[in-house]
Amino acid sequence: MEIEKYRRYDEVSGISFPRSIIIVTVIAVVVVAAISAYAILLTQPGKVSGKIIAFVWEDYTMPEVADNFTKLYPDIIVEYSIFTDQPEMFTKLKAGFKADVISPCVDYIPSLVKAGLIQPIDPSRLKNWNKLFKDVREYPGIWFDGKLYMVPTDMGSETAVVFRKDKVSFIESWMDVFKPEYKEKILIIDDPRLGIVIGAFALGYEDPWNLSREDLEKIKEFYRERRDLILGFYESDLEVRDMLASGEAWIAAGPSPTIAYWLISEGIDAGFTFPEGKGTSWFCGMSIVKDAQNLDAVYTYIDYIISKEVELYFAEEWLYSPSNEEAYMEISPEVRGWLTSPELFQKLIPLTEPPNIDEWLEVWEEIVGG
Amino acid sequence: MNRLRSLRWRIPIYVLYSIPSIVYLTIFFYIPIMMIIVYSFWQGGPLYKIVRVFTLENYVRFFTDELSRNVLIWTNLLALLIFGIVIIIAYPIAYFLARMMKGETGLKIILLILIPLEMNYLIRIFAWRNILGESGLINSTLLSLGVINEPLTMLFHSIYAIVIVAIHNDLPYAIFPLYITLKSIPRSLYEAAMDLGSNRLSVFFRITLPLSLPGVAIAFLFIYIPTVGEFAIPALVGGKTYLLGNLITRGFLDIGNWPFASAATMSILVLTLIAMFVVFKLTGMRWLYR
Repeated sequence: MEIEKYRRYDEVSGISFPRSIIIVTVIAVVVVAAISAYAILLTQPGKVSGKIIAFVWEDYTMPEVADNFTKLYPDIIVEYSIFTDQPEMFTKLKAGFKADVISPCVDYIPSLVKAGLIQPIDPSRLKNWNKLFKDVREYPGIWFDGKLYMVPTDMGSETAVVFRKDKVSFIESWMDVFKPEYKEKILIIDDPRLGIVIGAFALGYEDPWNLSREDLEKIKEFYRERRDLILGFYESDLEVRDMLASGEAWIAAGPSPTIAYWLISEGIDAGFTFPEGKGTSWFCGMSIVKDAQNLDAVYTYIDYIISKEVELYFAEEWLYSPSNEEAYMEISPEVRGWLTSPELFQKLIPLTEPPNIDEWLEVWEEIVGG
Repeated sequence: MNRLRSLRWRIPIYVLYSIPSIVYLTIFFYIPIMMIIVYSFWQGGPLYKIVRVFTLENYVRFFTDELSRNVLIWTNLLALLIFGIVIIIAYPIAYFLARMMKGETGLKIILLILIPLEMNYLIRIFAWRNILGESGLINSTLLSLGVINEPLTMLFHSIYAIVIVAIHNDLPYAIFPLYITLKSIPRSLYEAAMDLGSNRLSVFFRITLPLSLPGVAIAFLFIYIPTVGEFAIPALVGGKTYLLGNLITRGFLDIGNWPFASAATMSILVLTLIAMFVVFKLTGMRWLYR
């Protein structure tokens, strides 16, 4: 009899289970059901709630932005996923990465619309929409066939040269960045477009977005000849700031002037320049992914991002020129001097996608790989 | 009903126990591997361009393209170098703990060596940034002692940094299997050899070393193979160093050429499997490939 009992438990399956397993299972089911019921009761009808996935630049995950949203909207859970450049964002979305809201720049909107990755936005669902500058709201690059595809959040400049004034004499031309005396102290942005544009600036190309394969090969050769001078290719603003602050790097080609502002705030003698007046400008915002499910929560999140408080934070801390007029009016004069002025914005080359982006990506990989 | 019941009664319990692991491995390992194999034979290009047409172009490119060929050779050499250095460092430690320490003391010290592995892998790498950096521990100490006048830059953002960090990460993975194999060599073998006139050196080269080779093979498995695909260490401390792991991650994430990145992944998988079987054969672990 005993033998039969053990055989039943040890050698066969499906029909009987020890009583203890059944009891534990029942308790587990009851506990899960109770928690679910409690969660449902907590959710008030009519209140926006649920989870959304924000696939964004790292800036949006700062506690001042992310935590404050959670305080204001405790029923909406935002799960963040970060991208470091737009090709990465585009590639992941194309590969089926699930997200509800993304933070592209205007140069990628045509590709995103063409690939069917984002959906039209209804601006009437955003309380702060009319608080944005009129010119910004009507910017042609964000509208396609009369439909809005990006809610503009901010604009600025990049492809600057940020340097340690205590280590580097003033930089006048793009070639000055690659002087032999700065050997292994130079950082280059790891972005196919900006990295190649820097090479194009150094080689004197007037229109860096129209480069033939031959031009790209020249830029590759330019970088190869100077590989020993380069310390590395950086991916994020925080990384470049840390390396300049520690003195491991003296010059960074590619970041925005914000990095210099941060370094100066930390007591480091830093500066920035757009050598020969050449640099790029950007204009970014928020878009809704095609298959986003919880649209109420997504609109709430976007509306929060373009609110005065958030825009003011990004202006004061990150030196992004805000789209929100009320935020712009409240920026301190000291910070306003650091923002990308309309004159500078006009002078810089807008960030765009070159027609032969495939070749750019391949060449950049060869440059980074050495 | 009775028939059904009798059918259910015949299912061995170990089959039931194995279902979760089979399901898990199928979903998270075998299916992704199959997908990578399929992708590697499709035509592709940057920005997720995929044409579902059979081609060997990705493999041909991986082995003929100057960049990937150089990266492949360079990464393998680096992985072998790291493995070699780790073995040279780990062997005396394991030997001392297994043969010189009495009782369980050696095992207790091994456990202490394993403790750092409990720390998050990335945190361990970041910790090295504070040690190897220009204002890090090593440079600060050497500067304050007057050994150097300028901080050593070669320690960080360089290939040397990758080697140093990788050795630190891999050392426990070599000490532990070597300790096990050295500990399991019967003492009677040494006594017999000594009785027959062998000296200590002869005993080491004719008994200890050959019998500890399975431990070296296991260490190879734990060190060489992960190092070939390593991408976090080069990215965080390697400066502009570009290894196979970086080529693959950038191929998937930045360039979006999945077929080429898949072909690179499969090539590494096959090459490391070949290397593994060769090493296991040389070290006498034939049961693994029989």
